[in-house]
Amino acid sequence: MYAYIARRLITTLPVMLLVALIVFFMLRLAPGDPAALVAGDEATTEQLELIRQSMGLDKPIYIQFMIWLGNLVRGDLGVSFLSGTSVYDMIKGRISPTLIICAATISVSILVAVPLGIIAAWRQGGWTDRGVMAFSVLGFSVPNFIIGYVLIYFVSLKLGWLPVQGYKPPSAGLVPFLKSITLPVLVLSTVYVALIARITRSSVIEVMGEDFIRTARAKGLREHLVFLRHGLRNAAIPIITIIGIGVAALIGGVVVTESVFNLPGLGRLVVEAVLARDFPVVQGLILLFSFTYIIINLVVDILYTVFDPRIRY
Amino acid sequence: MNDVAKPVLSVQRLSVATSGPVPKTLVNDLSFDIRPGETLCVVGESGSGKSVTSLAIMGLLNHSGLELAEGEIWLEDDKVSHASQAQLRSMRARRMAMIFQEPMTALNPVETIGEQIDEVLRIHTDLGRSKRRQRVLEMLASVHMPEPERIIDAYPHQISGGQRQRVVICMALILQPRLLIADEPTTALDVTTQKQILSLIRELQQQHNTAVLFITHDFGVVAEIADNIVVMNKGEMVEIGSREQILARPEQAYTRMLVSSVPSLVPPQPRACHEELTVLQVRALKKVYREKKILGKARVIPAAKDISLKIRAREVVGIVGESGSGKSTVARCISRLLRPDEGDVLIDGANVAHIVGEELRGFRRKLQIVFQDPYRSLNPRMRIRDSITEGLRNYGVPAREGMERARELLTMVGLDETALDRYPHQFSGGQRQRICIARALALEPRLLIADEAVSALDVSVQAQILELLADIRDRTGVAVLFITHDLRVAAQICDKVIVMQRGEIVEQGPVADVLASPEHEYTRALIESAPGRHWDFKNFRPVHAGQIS
Amino acid sequence: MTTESASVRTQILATIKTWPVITALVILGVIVLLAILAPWLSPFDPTAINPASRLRPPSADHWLGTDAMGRDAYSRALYGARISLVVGLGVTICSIAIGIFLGLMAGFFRTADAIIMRLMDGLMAIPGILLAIALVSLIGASLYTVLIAIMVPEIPRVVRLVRSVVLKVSNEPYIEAAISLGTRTPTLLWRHFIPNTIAPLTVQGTYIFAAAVLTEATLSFLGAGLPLDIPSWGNMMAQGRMYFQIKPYLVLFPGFFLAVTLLSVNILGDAFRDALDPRMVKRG
Repeated sequence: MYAYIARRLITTLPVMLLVALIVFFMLRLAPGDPAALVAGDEATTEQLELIRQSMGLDKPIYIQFMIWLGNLVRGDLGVSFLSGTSVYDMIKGRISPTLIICAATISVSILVAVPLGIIAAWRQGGWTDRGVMAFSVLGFSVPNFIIGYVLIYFVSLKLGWLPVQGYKPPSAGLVPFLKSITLPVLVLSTVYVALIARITRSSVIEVMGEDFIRTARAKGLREHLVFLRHGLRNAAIPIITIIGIGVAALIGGVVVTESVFNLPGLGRLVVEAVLARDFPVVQGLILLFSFTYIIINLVVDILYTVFDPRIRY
Repeated sequence: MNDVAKPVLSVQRLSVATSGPVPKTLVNDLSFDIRPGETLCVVGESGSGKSVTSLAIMGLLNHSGLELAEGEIWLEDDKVSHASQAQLRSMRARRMAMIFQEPMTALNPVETIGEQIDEVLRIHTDLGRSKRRQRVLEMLASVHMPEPERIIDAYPHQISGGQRQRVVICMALILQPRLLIADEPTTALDVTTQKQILSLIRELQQQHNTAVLFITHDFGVVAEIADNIVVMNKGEMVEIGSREQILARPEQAYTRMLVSSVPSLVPPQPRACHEELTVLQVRALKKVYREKKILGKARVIPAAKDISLKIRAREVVGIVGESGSGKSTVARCISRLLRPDEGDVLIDGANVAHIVGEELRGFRRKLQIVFQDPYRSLNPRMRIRDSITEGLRNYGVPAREGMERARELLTMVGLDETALDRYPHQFSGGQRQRICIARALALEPRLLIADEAVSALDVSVQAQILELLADIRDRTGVAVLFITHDLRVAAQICDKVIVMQRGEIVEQGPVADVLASPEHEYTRALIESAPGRHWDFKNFRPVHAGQIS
Repeated sequence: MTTESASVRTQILATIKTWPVITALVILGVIVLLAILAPWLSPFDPTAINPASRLRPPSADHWLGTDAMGRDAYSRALYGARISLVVGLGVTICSIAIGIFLGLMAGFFRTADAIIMRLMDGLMAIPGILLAIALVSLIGASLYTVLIAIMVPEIPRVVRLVRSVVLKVSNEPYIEAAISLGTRTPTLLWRHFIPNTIAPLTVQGTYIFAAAVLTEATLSFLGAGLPLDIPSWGNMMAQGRMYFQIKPYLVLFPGFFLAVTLLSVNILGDAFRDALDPRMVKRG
């Protein structure tokens, strides 16, 4: 098992390096002087020279990459030229709404989707099953900002139950906080729930067709125990896999949802930075999101060892 | 045979059909009894309905979309066929138990062996934990499992296929049921393992006077273990009788056909003589597999070592071995689907062992292969005529000539011209194999390799294909290398046989000699494990002394 | 991998007959028709600014009302359909073409495999929207650049799919048979491998189409997509956002069209998948 974990860790590092490489080269893609991009339109020629030197633009490209990487590892993601604050501080300042909403979404989605998928599989072909499948297709197809606006229209504008937009941190009181995150979490969850419910259903159905299920029945075990004891544990692996992969969709959803509901989180920061061509911030956020995604999937892979002894030994 | 005792299992006029709006009958009007201590074999080819019968007895039909249309099933004094789910559950494992075909997938991969066997006791008894553990250990010992203390905490993937089947037998017999249903339990196992499992079942049966319903397609197994036999065909009961009656004096034409098709260890009368010209010569062939590992040392596994053999024109040479013997590796090295690490492979005198590129391609005409799985050997999206003429097209034969040749070939393999425009899925396994043979012969090869070419076929179809191969050998003079795990099949078609074990040749010689007086102990073990080796099926009688050892 | 039917066509035709699929096809057909005939069907020039009739509700003249600059929403919606379809088709075709090439390389050549797949892993580790946004911000916003920005995150999935088809088909005995019959590698590719990729690529193609349309709309909605003068559904929603509380239909109408289009494409994709190769294609 430890060999497996070590192997997974070792293969993760090259991917992270590659992401860093891709992000690094993306900046070079932009037409014009990279230093000018980083410095911004307001910079003086002296400031430009300073930046050019600090980025090592006169040196060969792999040295530039090393310098950049070195800074990265030390936590120096550069400075936003729009506001002058370090990117690191900007992220720190706006991370909490995003973190809270993502955590809430993941928890809610798993708690809703997995039972939904199981019930759909249990009653395969019935109305519940068809309902879950239909909901799942809807969840993928209807863009989440549209769901957001529809919900805002009905729940906030027409019924007035929840605020149209804005974020209240927990320090401002539990109820206002919960009210402000309900719609965003609901909207974010739709895609995630659709994805997880669907895979749960198909994974359970597939497992229930396996030979060892027949063996369990032949022992005289009651059907619901066959399901719980033999079926579910074997169905777990594809389910936790999709939970990991779905985080990518979640991140995309966060960017959009924070825009719709005007939440002061990292998602909206990305959009602002992109529109303002504030490249250091864009860079830093892409790296942060990508590394988070990679690490979450690493954790998922390690979690496999809990569910599947074939990987453990 | 116990005339006085009441039957443990009584199946009366059983009919099973698919559920749903348009029911299809899978079993029709089946009746038989089994008494305590008796073994009844239900024999049939694929699609005969034999597995469905076992599901019906256990009450597991509705999970497969089937239902009992008519008839009754009695287990001693209980009417199983019309029992409630709760009653059925209490009877399973306690009074009737079942073991299935695939030991590799029959166990839950995420629970230990001990937990799974223990589960049977937890469902049906009130025993405490330590008592249960004791029972499990005893049962594991009684199936001759090595190191029961270690196995009890192991996971299924850590033990072999034969050991997993023993575990399944443990789960089935731990409560000493009156009836054991075994659905092809040894089909997926090596022949030597099969022998051990069959004798284990026999041993436990005698200890507890269990009635055994044994489902199989292999008449050899039937000849070894049956007291009574039921022959099924397409859901119908063709014939029922004692072992003597069915094997020596079958009445129905289908039964006669089925029994006489079974390959026995008695070689047939030798046919056409081989010629003197050597087509294939292999010298000191060697192939190893290197395991790739990121962490830890890479292992080097020799798949084939020091292999030397010779095949002459019009000769059929067989390589016989169990899984892991290296026979397939040798075949693939000879046909250059793999490149041998060392050694020479000479076809008509030219060494092809290490050639590459266009030279290799040029040689490929001379050697063709027929593979094991007829369902995967033909591109499902290509019409038959394109599959057969593929080789000809590759070497520049014009289309019209190619089609002519394709028609000839189809006739040679016994298929109609209309097959040309169809797709593979429209043909049965046996027909597909004929098409593959036609395809292989298109290039007029010097050597034909049949790599387990009949292993996936029903026994009657198998006999036909062997007949076809012998016929083709006579007509075209091609040399044949016949790879198989079944010594009985080799006995039927090969002139010379080579026995391989763990990558090495342990014995070779004319087939009659090797069977009558084997020199190596492994060969002896193979002969002794061949089920039904004392019966000459084709002639409906026991084998004469001196024909085999 | 067993296929019961012979050709891709017969298999598709079999699943077409269910009512969700027929509805989806009809809807898509209508949308395609509307998009093609947009120049003739729009009563107004979609870019014509008319400050006098700003923010009008739906009426007989303006079926879907007017936006903040007095432009007719219905005409813009029709042209928006064109953009969505062009983007969808463009991204799908380009990503499949590039993906087939890279996937074949990766499937056949061990060294190319290592390089290509690591690159794809890296690309897949960056969430698609982020990658697209970043690319647009770097190379500027025009129809072509947005196409490229949306295409790049989609390529890895196609590469993975083609590569796995190649690896799987390589293990099939009929490939070994073809090799034994003397088939050369390029012919092998053309005769045996490529036909086996058609079915899964058809399925994957529909999913890519939907993803491309969605990504374009999202990018435009965030303001990081097509330039504002090009009428796209995403742009319409972006510009209508500010007035959502008083004139919600400015956002909801284009949203509705988008949702219906995506729903239909996804239903079609699922139908293809069930018909052709249930095990090959996975979403996400």
